[in-house]
Amino acid sequence: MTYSKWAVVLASVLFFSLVMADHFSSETFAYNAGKGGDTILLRLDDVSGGGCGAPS
Amino acid sequence: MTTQVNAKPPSGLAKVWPIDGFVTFWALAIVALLTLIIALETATFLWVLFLVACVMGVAMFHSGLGFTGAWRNFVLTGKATGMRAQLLLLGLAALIIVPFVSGAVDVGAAPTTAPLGISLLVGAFIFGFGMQLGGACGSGTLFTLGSGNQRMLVTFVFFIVGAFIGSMQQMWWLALPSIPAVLLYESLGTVLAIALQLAFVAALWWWFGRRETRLMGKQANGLLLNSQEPLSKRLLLGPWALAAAAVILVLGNLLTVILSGSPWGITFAYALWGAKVAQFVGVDVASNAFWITDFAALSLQDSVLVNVNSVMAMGIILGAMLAAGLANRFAAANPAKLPWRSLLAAVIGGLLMGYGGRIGFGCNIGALFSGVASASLHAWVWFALAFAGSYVGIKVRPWFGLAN
Repeated sequence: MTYSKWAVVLASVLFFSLVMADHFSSETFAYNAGKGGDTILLRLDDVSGGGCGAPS
Repeated sequence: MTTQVNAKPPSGLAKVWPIDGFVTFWALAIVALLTLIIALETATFLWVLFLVACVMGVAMFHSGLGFTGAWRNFVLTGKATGMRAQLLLLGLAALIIVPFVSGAVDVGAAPTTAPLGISLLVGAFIFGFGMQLGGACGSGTLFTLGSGNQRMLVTFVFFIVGAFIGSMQQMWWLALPSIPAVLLYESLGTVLAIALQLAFVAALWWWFGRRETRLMGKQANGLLLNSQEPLSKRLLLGPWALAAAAVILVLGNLLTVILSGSPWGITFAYALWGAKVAQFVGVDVASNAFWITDFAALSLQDSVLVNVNSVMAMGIILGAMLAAGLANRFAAANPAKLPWRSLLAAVIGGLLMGYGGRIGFGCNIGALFSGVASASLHAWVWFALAFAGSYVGIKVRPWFGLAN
């Protein structure tokens, strides 16, 4: 079996960069930075049951 | 740089436990970093569920508990070991999780449910068909990808594309004829709902065994392992018993219900990731009829790190990567060259699973496993239609040079 270590590193860095870029532009990050933000964590009761079921 | 793993004969400790140090270290580093970031930036239940999903990823990798190969084996040879593992999973979900979702044990959880209509029927059929071309189901895609399977990366990417397209058209499908969602515990009560689902699981168990005996002459067991290896070694190197993996997945789903308020799901995460990329490149996602609904709209503007489905999907990928590293089996299933017809099947399979998963309200996990855990009738309808689609998919596999 062969694999490229660079491919693993590249894929990991790309994955991590995308996650962090998304997080830095999110409502939760804004909330944590004291800039307001309608984070989903404040409205968990409203959105419970979302996900893979039918949209309400 | 291409690494030839196991290029030189192992010695000493490496002989007993030939770990892939690079993959193991890398997987551990990302798990630790993500756990820290999720803990610092979000909420306790999310980093706990991330780690729970890592364990589920390890369990799926070491047991091979999945749906696609098991369905194919049952159709082609009659061997029903994998089907029994799934029934064990569903039976335990019905028995253990339904009380928490129904409110008999009040944890403030909501069910995973969906209307019974054309959207569900078509979506489930398409998903089942796509499974056989893509080579895995929703959860299978994640843990196979984590174990370094190159073909699965193609399926995964197009799964995301298909899920996004499906989400953009989901409200059109929802407007087609249907009857409202049926939660068995609402009409029968929790005890009867559990009993009815267990009876159905038992009937299927009997029928699968009967067909297996007819086609193979005997019933294979296979849910438990008969290994002489020490437990510590098997925990790290595998294999794990299918029954053990089923128990771990049920406990993981139960924790998901208790901590997040909903059963486990996967395909919404794929749609969300696709929507975020599409939005980034200028597609007007936010005004789409699906993406303006409460949960979807909030998820779109918020971090993937506060989306339970996303966090758990990442956990499963990384858990499988860690397990593959520890067992020195990372990328072990990759052929020297991937034929273009196989890649085309991965593209089509991924697209169909993504699209079908959205309009059919989930995959084997979100629709079937969590649907049964919610005592929702749509789960059993999904099972039947996805199996029918899978049957057709099995017949089509040879067109793409895929072995049956």
